[in-house]
Amino acid sequence: MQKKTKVIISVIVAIVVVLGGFYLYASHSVARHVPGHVYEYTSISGNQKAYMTFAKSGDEVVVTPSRDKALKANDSDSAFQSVYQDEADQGKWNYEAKGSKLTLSKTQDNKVSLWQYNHVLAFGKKIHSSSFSYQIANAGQGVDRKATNFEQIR
Amino acid sequence: MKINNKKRLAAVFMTAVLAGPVLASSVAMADNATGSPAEQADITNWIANTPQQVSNNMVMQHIDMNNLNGTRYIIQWGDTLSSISAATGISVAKLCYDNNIQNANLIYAGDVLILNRNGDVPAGYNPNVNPNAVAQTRVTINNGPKTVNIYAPKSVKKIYNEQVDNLKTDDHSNNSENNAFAAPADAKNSTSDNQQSQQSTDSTSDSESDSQESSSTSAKTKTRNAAATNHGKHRSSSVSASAIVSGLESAAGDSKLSFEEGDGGEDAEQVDVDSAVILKAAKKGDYAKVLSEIKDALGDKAKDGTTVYIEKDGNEINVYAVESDNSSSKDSNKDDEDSDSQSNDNDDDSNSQATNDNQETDTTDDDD
Repeated sequence: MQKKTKVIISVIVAIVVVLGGFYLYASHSVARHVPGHVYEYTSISGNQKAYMTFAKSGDEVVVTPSRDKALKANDSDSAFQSVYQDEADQGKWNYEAKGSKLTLSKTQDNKVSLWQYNHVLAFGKKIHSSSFSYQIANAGQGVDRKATNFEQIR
Repeated sequence: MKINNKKRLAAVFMTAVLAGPVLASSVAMADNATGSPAEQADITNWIANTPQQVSNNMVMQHIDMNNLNGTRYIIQWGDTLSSISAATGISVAKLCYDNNIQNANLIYAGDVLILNRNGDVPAGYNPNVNPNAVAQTRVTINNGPKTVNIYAPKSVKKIYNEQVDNLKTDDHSNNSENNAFAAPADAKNSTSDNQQSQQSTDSTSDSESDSQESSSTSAKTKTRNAAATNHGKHRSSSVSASAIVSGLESAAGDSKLSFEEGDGGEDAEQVDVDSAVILKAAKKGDYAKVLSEIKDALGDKAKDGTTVYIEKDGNEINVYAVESDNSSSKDSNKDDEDSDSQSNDNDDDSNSQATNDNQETDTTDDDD
């Protein structure tokens, strides 16, 4: 085998290893990324925003259309609890980040609705999901292969 | 002059081309209650809107907030009665009274809500609503998949599991009245369809038309399709009374006992058997075990001339015995079955199950 061929193969292998490593890291780090941070979510249609403040510990999350409330909830643990309880009338939100999945749940009137973001890649301040599954109380369930994005704002 | 006309025409055309998309998007944003399943299921639609967002929506619909006198507002995703109330200054009770919203927590995205600041609510009017429930959908959101696997957060797992269990039960009984993941309007239609199907099963003797009607009504919505699919799965694994009777006949061989389907009429005495054991053994095709269970329960009655009657009531197997041949009871057997299935109408869950199982029995008979 010529030296040039060996170099080319080595470079290709190195690129594959780096990309594979990056993918492995990004696809399994959502659980490390979200606690204690505020994310801005953009709807599939692109004309709606939601803000999510993930608790530093535990599985509670404040989900609100108000950026101010979301940021306020991230000020301290007591501020988080205060906002979380204030918003509880509109439904209690919880989350689970595991592997490459991020699940958000809303509980209201003893009924649970779930949105699970699949194939999540988390890197830097961005979280990207290539599909989501949903089970919405009194509404429906299914899987949609639409990409969604979250951006850390604090 | 001709040139001027051409210029005017071109100007109108260009204006239409340029302004068209702007006007179209304005109309679309004023009524964003529709969209693809993905857009409808988007999480932002299920987060309660703030009063400010509701006000913005009203402005988009060219509603004069200072003159709300029978004004029509198209309910948007995320709207709640409390946020609409806060945005308009109209009380939740007044909104409910003017729009005849009662005994339900639901307003629906895309519906029209009448906003009326004038007039009062009658004393004692107290609508039973949750003003913080977001606008729901009238049509079940689904883009194809019938089963969805989601990892629920630990703290909601218990409630979620109960919900999923209910869903399975509802699918099993082909009744989505309490289907947690179906739109209430769909569920109501399904319930009425089921009632209709049940009535036809009870009142007509033509089993074939019953099962056809049942399957045609169950195919009306996607959710009901899923239920029908699951029902079909159940059908293939369940055992009918007639199948048990024929299984017992071959297992008994030249035994003294004879077997019939039904409850044996008035002369029959119920035999105390373990229904679960019989059903399990019958499903495995182990009719020797079924026979042994029945013989043990019969004790001294297991003698010549005793006829054993097998009846399936939902998931229960009832066994009756008549010690001497009684043709009259045999003849009246079908009538008794009908009256029994009617008398079960008070049981909510077992009722619909029993209806379906009757259908299963009928279908099996047809196959035979």
